Amino acid sequence: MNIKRTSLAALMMLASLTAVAAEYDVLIEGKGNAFITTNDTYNDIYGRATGGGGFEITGGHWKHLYGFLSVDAFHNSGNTQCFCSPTKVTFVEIGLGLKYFVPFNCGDFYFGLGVLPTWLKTNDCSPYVIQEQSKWGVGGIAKLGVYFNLPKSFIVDIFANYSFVKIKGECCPNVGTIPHDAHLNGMIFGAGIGYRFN
Amino acid sequence: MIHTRLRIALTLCALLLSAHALHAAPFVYVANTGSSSVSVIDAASNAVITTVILPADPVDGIAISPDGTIAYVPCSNNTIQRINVATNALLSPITLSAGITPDSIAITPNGLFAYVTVTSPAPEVLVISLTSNTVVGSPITAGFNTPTQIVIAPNGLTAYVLDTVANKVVPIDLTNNTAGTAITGFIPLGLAVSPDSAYLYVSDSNNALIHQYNIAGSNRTNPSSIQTFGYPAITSYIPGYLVITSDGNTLYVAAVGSQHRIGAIDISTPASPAPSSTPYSLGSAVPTDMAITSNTLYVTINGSTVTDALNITSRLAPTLIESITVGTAPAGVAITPMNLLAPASVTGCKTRNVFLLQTDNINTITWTAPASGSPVAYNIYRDAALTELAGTISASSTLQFCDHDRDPCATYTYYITSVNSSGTQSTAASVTVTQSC
Repeated sequence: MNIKRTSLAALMMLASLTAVAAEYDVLIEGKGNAFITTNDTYNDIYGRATGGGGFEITGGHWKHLYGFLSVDAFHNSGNTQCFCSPTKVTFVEIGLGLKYFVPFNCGDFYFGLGVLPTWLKTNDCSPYVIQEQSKWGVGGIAKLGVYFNLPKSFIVDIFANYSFVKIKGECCPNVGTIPHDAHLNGMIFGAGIGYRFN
Repeated sequence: MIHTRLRIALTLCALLLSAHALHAAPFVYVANTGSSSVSVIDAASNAVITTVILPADPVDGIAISPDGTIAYVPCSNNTIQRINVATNALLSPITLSAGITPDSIAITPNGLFAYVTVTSPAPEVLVISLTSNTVVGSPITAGFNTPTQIVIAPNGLTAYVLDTVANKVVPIDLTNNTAGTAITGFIPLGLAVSPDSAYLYVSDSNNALIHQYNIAGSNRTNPSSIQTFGYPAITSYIPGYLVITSDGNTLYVAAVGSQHRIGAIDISTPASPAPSSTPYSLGSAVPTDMAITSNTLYVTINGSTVTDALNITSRLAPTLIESITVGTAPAGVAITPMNLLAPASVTGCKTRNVFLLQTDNINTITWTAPASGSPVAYNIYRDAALTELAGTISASSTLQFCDHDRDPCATYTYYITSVNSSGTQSTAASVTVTQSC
């Protein structure tokens, strides 16, 4: 019964979105990207690059302004310096903001700004620290990219973003284990492919 | 006033005379079977510092308690004479039943029991409580004919008794004082156990070979043969007494027969024993027993009044330091345990294990092994009273301790002690951690 209701709700939402998409210029895409950190601590542990993927919905069209909603997930593993303790990191960035489109013959250039609520989870393999933590933080994102129009309303998105997120560490129960903030700052390079409803 | 000064002077003299057992280099005790005495040699100078006169001739062996306080000398008057190592005065002896002739003696690593071989009237091994100084339990017979040597594995679980007439080596399980499976097939003259209690070496005078046995784990009372090896650099020889260095890297064999030599065998890789090509020649002197310090091998010479001190700093090429004049017919030789010193070169520094959301602040302590004693572990304490144990590190692992989750702003002082196989703990070396690594 619940499954039927959920399916029905999903169908209605899809129909609504399609209707909205038909009325406005809406772009939906899936994308792959690489997070290139500019933070030394992150770099020391996990290395410079972290792979990820996600999806993005861009829509609107008021004086070349579009709204966007993006969800991107990243995962990496590494070892601490000196003691080589294994550790893993997973973070999900939810972008919400505006893009400004500059049309050209084959598509649109764009740049945008948004807020970036982010969920972070770490698994630190050491008996002397908190081994698993998950936290929320918030930051911002600046976007720069270009949409290329393909036949049959398909699009390709090439982009370079800069994100900055601070996630606060919490007081640890272990005496001497000092919490500190995590800074998920860095460039995000990637590409997406999607469909343009207009 | 004069009396006071005299008292002070006498006290200082007494302290100086008794201090050697507590602080100085090891002392070598030689049982002189022809002059009813024990010669005491200062291993630092190789000078005889005193001769302890016994009420009867020593028979063969001599042993010193693991704590280095008492020397035990089996004598021909059915006693085990006891010598206070601090003063070299005789203590009350352990008296055995009339007619018993004790031969060799070995003491368990915990210092609680002595095992004594007896050749007459009945060949057997006696167990003596060193707490009550009396024979306890029943004698261990095990079909002996002439048990003449006994060694106890450093782990204290098994003794090995060599019978030179029945031509066998018998393991004795020290947990229940029962005999294990005897090893036969040779004419044994000497035996030694590696410091890790994993290997037994037996010299075979019949075939001029040394037999290596696995005595680890369940094999300790049922030794299994691994291999035999000879000594190519010595021809027509009879391998006799054996002794192994405390680091387990070198086996010394006293060769008799047509050539009297002290040969060194590299056993640092037990699977591949490597006899050296430069044995030391004793000339016509016949070795009767050997004992070893970290740099000197002492060899008693049969029928003489001499004990040779050999330099084994170059471990595979012994050279003579000097021949020390002792009593008549020296036989058994034993050395007081090295004083267990605190670890050396102790240093400490602060370091960090940095994760994305947290940092583990660590104090890292490192040290080196002490120059004296044979520690098996090191204890690290956080207080001078040695009550707050932070950790224990095995002597065979990296000599480093990491104390985690420390306050990076606090100053910590650590106290590190050496611990030997009998559980004795040295004084502590301390270090205060202030600097970053």
